Amino acid sequence: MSAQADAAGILQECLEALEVGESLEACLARYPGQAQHLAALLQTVTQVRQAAEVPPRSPEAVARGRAAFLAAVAQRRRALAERRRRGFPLLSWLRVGRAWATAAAATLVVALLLTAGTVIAASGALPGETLYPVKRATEEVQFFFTWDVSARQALRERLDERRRQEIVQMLEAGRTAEALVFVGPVEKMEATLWQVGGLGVEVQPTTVIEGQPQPGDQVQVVATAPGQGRLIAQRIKLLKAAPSAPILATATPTPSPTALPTVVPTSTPTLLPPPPSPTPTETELPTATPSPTLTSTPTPTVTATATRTPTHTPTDTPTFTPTPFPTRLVAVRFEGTLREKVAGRWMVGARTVLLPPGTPIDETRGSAEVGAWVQVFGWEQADGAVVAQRIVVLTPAESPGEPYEFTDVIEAIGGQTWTVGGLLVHIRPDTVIDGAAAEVGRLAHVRAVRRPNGEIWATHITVEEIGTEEVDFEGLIERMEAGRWQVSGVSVLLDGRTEVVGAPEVGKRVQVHGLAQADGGVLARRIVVLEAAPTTSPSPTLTPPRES
Amino acid sequence: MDEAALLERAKAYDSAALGLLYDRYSGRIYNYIYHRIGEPGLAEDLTGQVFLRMLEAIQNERAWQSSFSGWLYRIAHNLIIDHYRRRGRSQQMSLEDVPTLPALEGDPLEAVEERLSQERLRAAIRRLTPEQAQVIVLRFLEGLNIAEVAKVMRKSEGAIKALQYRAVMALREILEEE
Repeated sequence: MSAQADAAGILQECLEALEVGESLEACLARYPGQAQHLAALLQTVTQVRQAAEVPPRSPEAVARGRAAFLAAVAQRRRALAERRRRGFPLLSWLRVGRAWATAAAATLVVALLLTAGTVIAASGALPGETLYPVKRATEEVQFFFTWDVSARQALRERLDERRRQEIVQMLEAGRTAEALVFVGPVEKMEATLWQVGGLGVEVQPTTVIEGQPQPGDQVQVVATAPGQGRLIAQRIKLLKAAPSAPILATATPTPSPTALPTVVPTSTPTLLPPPPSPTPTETELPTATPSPTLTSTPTPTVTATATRTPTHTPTDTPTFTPTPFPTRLVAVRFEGTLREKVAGRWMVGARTVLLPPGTPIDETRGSAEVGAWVQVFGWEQADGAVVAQRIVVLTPAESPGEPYEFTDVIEAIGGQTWTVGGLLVHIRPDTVIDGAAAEVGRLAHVRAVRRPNGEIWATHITVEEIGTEEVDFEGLIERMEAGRWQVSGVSVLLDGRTEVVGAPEVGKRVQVHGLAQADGGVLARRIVVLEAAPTTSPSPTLTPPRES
Repeated sequence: MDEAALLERAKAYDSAALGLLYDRYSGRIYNYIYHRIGEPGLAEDLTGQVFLRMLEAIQNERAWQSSFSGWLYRIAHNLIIDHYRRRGRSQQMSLEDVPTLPALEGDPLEAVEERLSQERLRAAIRRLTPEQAQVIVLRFLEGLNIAEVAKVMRKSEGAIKALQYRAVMALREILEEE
């Protein structure tokens, strides 16, 4: 061990010895050779420790600092909730990008390993067949290496068309499949049957519809093929609204023209010819030739622009099944004041909102109390009521309760609550605290709101020191406010211990006994109503302090 | 409440948990900063900044895994260093710059002498290296033990003992020069 390490160890040993009550001399005696040096160092430490006293912090500064910190916390919470609501678009994009890169790399390997013949053979594969993944991988490679934006868009449209043709072939063959995905324009919307990209797809009560698709809109359909040529939509997602029919999230839904379905799905497949494919602008891989065996009326061609990568990623998956099944499912989102809350049924603005058990309610920004401004996501029923899928409180109730004002003695000061005159007072980040330093035993004039649940939320607290000099005087009541009267010009504070005898009214004469306060007011301990108001208002007569 | 549970809730920006952490540590952090700076108003400001920085980084658990209070002291230390860097370390403090302190009890003359003595000591501490100043304040003004200081400064206990020794010697020399 070096000399310095020795010296450092000895210093620490002596410091510890002194801390447990050993004398300086005893410690120095153990190291006579270094006693002088050690004594000088220990004297320095003692000198430092003597300066350890810190002047008391200003309670106002402490309260301000705490309030500022909690305000920052609230801001963070709001930002966090907002980020969650928006669903991290950048991260989503990165995830998509990573998926693409992975797919491309995997496909390159596939392309190297497989022969050209395999690829060609795979071009006719259908979902569920062995070579179908090869077909899809080949398409993705082609898409990956298509750089031109318009060419990519055209290719995507052709691939979308190819997906639809595959489904046509599967249905014609009577095959079954799960999770068939295709994209196309909405060409017809009936109660239980829609036509998307030439495919008739059954819409059932369990079908989840994201957005408010209208005829002409581009949608993505996830469907099952249970056999017998049927195609049942599990999910229909609006990708892009048609320019001629913009969809507003808050638009009032248009009721279906007919209450009854005009097309009844049967076991016979309802297949319609697909819209014509766009003119190819580039060489593409061999495609399966569509072979529709269709006899129904061709549908009008919709010239919707396909979107390559939809950027909207819903953060929630609707799972609620409206009952009874409306003639048409309409997803709605609207905001309004929460006006009434009855179990399972709320009034938001002028609309009835039904809450199935377990409906998630986001109260990050405030409690879902009457008066709060809320946003409702849900499904509109035929009768106009909205079956909530999710409710978000955007802002808490502006006036969450009745004004409440009182003056009393501070009995306890906690982080977020004070006890004033036996009442628990909630201190919020925006509560203004002024006057004297907040200390137990002082007087607090509390301005607050009493919430429907009885909680008292302080908006402003003025702390006052309690004087000790007792005074008695008589005067006329000139003004009566909660916790504070004016008696012949003197401000009289009333707290929980103030005893009032008689029936006080403005204009009546009273005798006040209390404690004189620094600001000239009196904290009343006893007020006796003497008589009805006289015709004149004499000045208050202060009498010498009463002996107690 | 158990600190681990409190911190877990604080990570999710739970207001109550963060409020409790503030109540638990703001006084200690204020004292530490005050001992280094000697100006109540500035110490309040910097204390506020410490907790705002804590808020910014609390979700990064690696920052405070070993010791939450140690992390707060480190943030405070860095803010103090930044403060002096901005102000210019060579700046000499005149008597006019001596901060006004609340009235002290007792003999006014003694009170003034005590204030000057405190300020003289702080001025001497400011002439130490940042690490030496940190160990002096944490050990002898804040009362942390060697192990606690080691956690705050992320050094071994042996290194802290050596640093403490050098710091006390340097401080002794500075005080003797005056």
